[in-house]
Amino acid sequence: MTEKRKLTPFLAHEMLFDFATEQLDPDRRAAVAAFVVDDRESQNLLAAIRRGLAYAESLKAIELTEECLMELDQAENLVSLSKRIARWSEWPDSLRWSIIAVGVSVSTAALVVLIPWKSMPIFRSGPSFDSGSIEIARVEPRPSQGNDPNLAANLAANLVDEDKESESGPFEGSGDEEFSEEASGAIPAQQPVLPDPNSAVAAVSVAPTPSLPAARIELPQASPVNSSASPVSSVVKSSRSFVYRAFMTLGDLEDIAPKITQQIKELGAEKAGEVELGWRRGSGRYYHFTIPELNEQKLLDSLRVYGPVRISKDPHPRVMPEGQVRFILWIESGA
Amino acid sequence: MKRDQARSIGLFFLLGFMEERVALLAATRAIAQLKAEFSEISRKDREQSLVPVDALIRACHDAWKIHRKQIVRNQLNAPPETVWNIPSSIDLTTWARYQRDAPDEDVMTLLFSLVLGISDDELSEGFQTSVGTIRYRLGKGVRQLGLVARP
Repeated sequence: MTEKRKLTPFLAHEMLFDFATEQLDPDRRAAVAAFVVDDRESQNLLAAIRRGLAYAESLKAIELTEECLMELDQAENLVSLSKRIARWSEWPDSLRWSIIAVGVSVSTAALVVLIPWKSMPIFRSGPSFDSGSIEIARVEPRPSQGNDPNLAANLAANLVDEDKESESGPFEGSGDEEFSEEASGAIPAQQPVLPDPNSAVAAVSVAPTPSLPAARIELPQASPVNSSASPVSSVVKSSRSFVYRAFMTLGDLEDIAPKITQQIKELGAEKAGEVELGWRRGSGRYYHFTIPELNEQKLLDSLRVYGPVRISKDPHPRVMPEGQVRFILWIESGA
Repeated sequence: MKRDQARSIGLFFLLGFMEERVALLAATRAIAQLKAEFSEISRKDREQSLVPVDALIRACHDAWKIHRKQIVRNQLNAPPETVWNIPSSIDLTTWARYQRDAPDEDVMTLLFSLVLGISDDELSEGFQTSVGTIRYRLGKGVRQLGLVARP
């Protein structure tokens, strides 16, 4: 029968902490327990260890103040701060949403600026003409010929088949009945009948008829049109149930518009719509008036001094008195 | 990083140094180091996410080594007063006397293990030492603390 080896005091003292915390296996635990029973120093050390454990346990009850915890919670150094700032998710929600809003706004503004809206027919501004209209002349400015009596013979007449475009754009909200008629489609579009493009004289003579609203014939500049009457006049005389639509784009409209208004009045023009002559709408000016037929050419001459004039002739149900013609002139501000 | 861990770090340095200003400096440094190291823990889940314990131990160990020099050794310091609420049953002078004379490694180990409740395995990983060494330091520290606490 073998007798168990007794622990030495050194080993027993070193194992007292594990004994107190119950970390020993059963054999070791029994050996240490047996040693402690007879060893006074071991008893004192074991008591000290238990006191120490109890004291350390009591320290867990210490609580930091809220201010101290707040201070510790806000602790940052340069690295942590820079990393936090660099993280998008760490940014305040208000700042993040503000940046997103600004980004969306800038993108939208850039789109609006960069997209060539004016090249899109649906967004094109200014007066336009439906398929039932005929551009009967395009008068180019020639300052040196302002007093030329043969001016009409030198004009290049363009009969243009106009694409159908929105009429209501620049005239909306004017209160002028002419616009409401146009907007309601009171003037029906008619199918174009193309004339012989080689015959300028024939084109001029047939263009004003209601059955030929959309013919476009380019006349060469050198083409001699030897007529004492202007091409416009020759077109006009064949019918009185029409309206002339003239369109101009002028740069210095603010200064020029009053002059044009004055000149139109001096030529005997009378306001035909509900708005005054030279009514301002957006960046343009609107004139709706009747004028003696005799002054029609003078009117065109005075207008072409300021820039090119595009004129079309539309069929219109309203019959004008003999010797009077109706004009709608739209002047757009632009380069 | 959970607020509870910030509280543990603060208590570790306050008890370890027993000097308010230096303790808060060291705690702030350790917490900031952990925030930098674990910056992926976002502001929103900071209250729920725990920093790994071994990293916490290393950060505290580093800050301890830096700021321990600012504490005069073997000198009894007046315990901090404004930063914590101490139950009346606790006499901090016992701890102050133990802390004054005990080796730094023992104090740190004892605080981590018995006050903050960190396991021996985590301590051995954090201190990069064996579990046996941790147990030895603990036994020595607790015995010494018990002797100081003798009535």
